[in-house]
Amino acid sequence: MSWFVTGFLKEKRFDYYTAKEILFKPYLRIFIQQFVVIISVLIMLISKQAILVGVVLILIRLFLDLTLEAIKLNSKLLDYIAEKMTNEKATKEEVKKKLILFTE
Amino acid sequence: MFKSILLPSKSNIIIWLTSVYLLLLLYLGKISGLTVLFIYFIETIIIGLFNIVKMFIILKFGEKEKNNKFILRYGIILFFIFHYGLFVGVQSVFGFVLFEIEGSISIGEPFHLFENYISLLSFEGIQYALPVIFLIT
Repeated sequence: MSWFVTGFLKEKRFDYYTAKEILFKPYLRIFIQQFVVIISVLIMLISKQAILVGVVLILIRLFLDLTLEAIKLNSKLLDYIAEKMTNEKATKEEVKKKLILFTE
Repeated sequence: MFKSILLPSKSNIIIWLTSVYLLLLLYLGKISGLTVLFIYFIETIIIGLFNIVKMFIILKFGEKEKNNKFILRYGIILFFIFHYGLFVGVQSVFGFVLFEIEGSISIGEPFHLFENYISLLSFEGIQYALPVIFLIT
């Protein structure tokens, strides 16, 4: 909600994307998230330490969100990752655009 | 590199505060570890809803979508609702089976998605935790 208001609406990010580009955007994030949830249930079943799982979940989520936020800001991190991912199939700018879209 | 990611700043302060708030709720016993698990599980639906709103705004006001025909423009939202709905449905059944095995919440039939989500929403402490997930989604 906060990014939706401060970024997407206020900065008019909706002018940069097509609906098709946004269409599949949630899937990767959801995949990671559900994977973490499933692993957490399994750990909970084995360890019976629900509070520990809660803490670990919050910390993983914190790190993931902070990383996405850092990429979103067109930062050094974005530049670094794009540099690493650039190959003959995609230029640095294309990789950057895809990464920013992923964090939208 | 890690310093620039992790250090609290104006742009990531909400993320930090949200996490501290959830940890505090856990510490005070207002929520359990399972509540945290459930809110991240429910967040899948919230993310989907936000995506629908974003797509609608892009189609209605976005520069890049000005010239498309009406049916082509809004058909994509219906496709997303169908596709994402299926995705969420399947992963929900899987999640509810796991929650049932874990045993802290009575799920019953994993295919009764609506009833099961209502059960999750009435779980202990969820009223404290869910609003902040809305905030950072």
